[in-house]
Amino acid sequence: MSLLTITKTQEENKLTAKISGRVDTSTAPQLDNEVSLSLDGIDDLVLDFKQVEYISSAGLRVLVSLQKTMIAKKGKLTVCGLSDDILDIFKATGLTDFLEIEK
Amino acid sequence: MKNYAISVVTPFHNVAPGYFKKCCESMFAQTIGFENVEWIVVVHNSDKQYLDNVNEMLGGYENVKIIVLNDDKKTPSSPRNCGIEHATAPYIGFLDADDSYTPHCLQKVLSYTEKNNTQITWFRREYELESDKNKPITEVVLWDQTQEEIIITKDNWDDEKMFSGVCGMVTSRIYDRCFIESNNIWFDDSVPFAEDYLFNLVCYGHADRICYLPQMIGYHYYINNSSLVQNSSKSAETLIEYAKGYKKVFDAGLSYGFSMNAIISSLCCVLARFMIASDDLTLDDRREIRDILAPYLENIKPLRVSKLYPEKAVRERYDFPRAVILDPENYSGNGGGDTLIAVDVKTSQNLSPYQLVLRDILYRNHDTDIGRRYGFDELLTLSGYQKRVPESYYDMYEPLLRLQTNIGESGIITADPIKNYMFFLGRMSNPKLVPCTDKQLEPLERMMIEEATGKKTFIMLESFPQKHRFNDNSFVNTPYGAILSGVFESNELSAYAKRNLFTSPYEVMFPTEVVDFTYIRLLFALSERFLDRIFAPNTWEVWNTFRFLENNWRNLCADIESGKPDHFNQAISDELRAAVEDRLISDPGRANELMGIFKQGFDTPVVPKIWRKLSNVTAFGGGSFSIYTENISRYLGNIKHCNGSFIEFSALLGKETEKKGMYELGTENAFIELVPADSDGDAVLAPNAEPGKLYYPLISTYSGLYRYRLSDVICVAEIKNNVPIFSYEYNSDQTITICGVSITESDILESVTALGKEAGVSVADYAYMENEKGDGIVLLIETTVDDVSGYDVGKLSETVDKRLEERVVLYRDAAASGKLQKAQVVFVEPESQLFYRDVLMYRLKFPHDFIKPTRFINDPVSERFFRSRIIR
Repeated sequence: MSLLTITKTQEENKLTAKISGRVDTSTAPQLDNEVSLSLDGIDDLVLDFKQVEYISSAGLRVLVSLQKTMIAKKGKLTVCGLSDDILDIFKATGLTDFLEIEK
Repeated sequence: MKNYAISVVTPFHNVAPGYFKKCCESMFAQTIGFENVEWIVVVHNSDKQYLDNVNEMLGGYENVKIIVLNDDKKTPSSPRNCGIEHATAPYIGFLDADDSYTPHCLQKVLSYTEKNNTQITWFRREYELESDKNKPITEVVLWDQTQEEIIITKDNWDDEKMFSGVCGMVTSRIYDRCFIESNNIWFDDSVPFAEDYLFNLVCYGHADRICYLPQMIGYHYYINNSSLVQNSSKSAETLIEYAKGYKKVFDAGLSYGFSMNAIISSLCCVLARFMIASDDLTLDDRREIRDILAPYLENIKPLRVSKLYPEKAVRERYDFPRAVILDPENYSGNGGGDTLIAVDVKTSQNLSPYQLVLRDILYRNHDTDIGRRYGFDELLTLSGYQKRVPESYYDMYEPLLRLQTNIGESGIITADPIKNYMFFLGRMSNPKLVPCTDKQLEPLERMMIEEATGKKTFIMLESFPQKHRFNDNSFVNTPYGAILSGVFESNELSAYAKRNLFTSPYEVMFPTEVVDFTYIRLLFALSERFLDRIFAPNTWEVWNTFRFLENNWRNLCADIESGKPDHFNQAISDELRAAVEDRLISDPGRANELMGIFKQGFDTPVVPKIWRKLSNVTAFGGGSFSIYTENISRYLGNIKHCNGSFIEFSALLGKETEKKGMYELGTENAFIELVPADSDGDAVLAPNAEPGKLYYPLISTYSGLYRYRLSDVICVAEIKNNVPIFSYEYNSDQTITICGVSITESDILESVTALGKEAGVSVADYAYMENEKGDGIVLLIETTVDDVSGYDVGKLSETVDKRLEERVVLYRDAAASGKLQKAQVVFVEPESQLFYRDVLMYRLKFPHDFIKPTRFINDPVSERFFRSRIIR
């Protein structure tokens, strides 16, 4: 059973994906697939991390990949709802330098 | 007495019957009629059996005179003079006993001679080599060869055409006998070498009419090992006699007012090459030769560049004899493996590839700022190069490269235009621009073509997008990206052949944007049933590609089935997407076949099942890459893996031998010296390296690096035919020093490997750093699983310590004294190395193969990053 749930809502060209559970080596491909294949016509992607308990390196790689995709589409990626722990990880790994973060 | 049409004089000295038979046959076949030729064979200082053979072959012919001449002379002068004395016909020709005339030779040449009433008639000489080892002595000319005959008188005399190239031969001429006799012209038997030049110069000095027949091939010159010119081993006494003989030759020509520049340059060049090959020439001997020839050599001028003397030959004919003969104190003789001077300027046969590559690099770049600064023009030995040119480091090149890239300057370090700058990122974000010219890449491109031709290759790399042009018209690329680009620019293969070498479409291999193409590469490679080989820059790329496949095979199979790259989630241009869609063909059968394979899981090697024909995976997997080399066997099974070429800074350091991991030092595009890695010793020439020792390569390249020290460390295993065979050991930039104890990349690799072998840890990757107090090492281990709670890190740390203590004496001592704390093993999350690579790629906009895995974590950014990845 997957430990990750992704709920997507689309309003015009904005897609919000609420992520719930653990993003680790086994679930990162699921995040990648479910989000990246829903980006047709989307130029505003929001990843809601309120329900994310943990994100591993494999999961963080997916964020880098999505960021590249959105920039190439001349759109933007926003990550919101980060817990303090996960925000610390974003800072330590340099993701805060190029990802748009909303508390 | 019979009136013969011509007398042919043949000096005969112990000529083997087989050779002489051909000579006789050519005489018998003369269209003028053999009986009309007076053949005078002078058997000179020959052994009895040879004389018997001559008598057997020619005895009984009325028109043949066999004369036996025994004297103390060692040149053909005395037998030729003897022949002249006995000649009765109005014309004389000279035929050597191991050569031949073409059938129409005498008839045609005589007809021109009589028609034009000339005293000398010259015709062409073709040559045949006994073996490939013989040096061709060809008689290329500057005459207008569209003309059948050219008559030269004092009114249209042309010194350059008459006295250039190989112009001294008497065999490809016939002479009016009365002219010879009336001017009392003889061969000077005191001249041991170039006596024929002297004879001809005297003849030309007296002649009024000379006929040149540029189209008439009359003489067949058989070049064999016994020829005087071919045999370069001469005694000191002989060489001094040569010099004395030269003086007579030069004096004769000068006395007639001839331009002797070409003859002096060429003959002195020959003498100089004999001198450097001589074993017993003393300094006094050299001084004696200098005293004889200096008046001539000091006054020569560089020859005019022509087809006879290309620029290179002009330089060598001017510089080489002057350097060797005029400077006996400094040019101390037998260059052997140290010389940069080719004995034969055309074939360079005396130089090894090791010598040739430096010679060529210096020659090509002599007219650059750096070439003039260090006098590349004047360097005649490898050791001279070592003494004159200092070792260099990147900091020395950086400002020069900036002049090139920012201002568009050129000719500073290399004469050729820079095509690409290789961007070497190393393992840290400290990029270096390495210049690269077409000439530098040529051999690497040729190798790639050779390896790929006739095969279908899954290539795991792309060229770097050529978007940003520097002001010297160059672009950035990776080494393999530039090589790939060169392969597609090469004329060796048709456009069709090029496009079928690799599985990836052209548009993917030469993208306009930096994109992670792993998915697309796999999509096309998986669609191909009959793959022959895989090529990747290193085993890290292979390992990551198949890990990616393991996670993404369902999407890949779906896209192969549909023929559309629907699951490729990277943003690419519309043109590129269209090209990919155009090339991708829907293949439900293949998709099904692959699904069947992947559904069985990845516990057994999948690659042999995917591609049944696949027989080779080439990817560098030495040094710290060997961790991936081990890991890829999980996918490859028994498919042969080889490391291929060892290329660093676009220099081919080595080609892998049949023994995996062992390389033969390259000489294709770099001159490589070796600097001892474990002492402060000077650089040694590669053939002088000591087996068993560690060395840093010091490279000199066509593209403008001179004695540049690489950070790679190699171990020389043996010297085979003067070429070191070596293994790659480690990169010294990755050596960590803690409390004065240096631990190399290979020491740590050994410990990491022990974790796998002794403790069963499935190591996917690793890195290392100092502990927080700076008194111990921390080893960061990455496995393929998130849950590492089953491992006892305390025990693993002991294993690492034990290995390091075994390998590094200072480590053991420092640990025993308590100065050094115990090693600490920690686990980091799976894919941490890849995540770090992704971040660097994103920030710097670089493709995969710019970035190597991080080993030594020694800057705050990477330390912070990796510390955050530790599994707590």
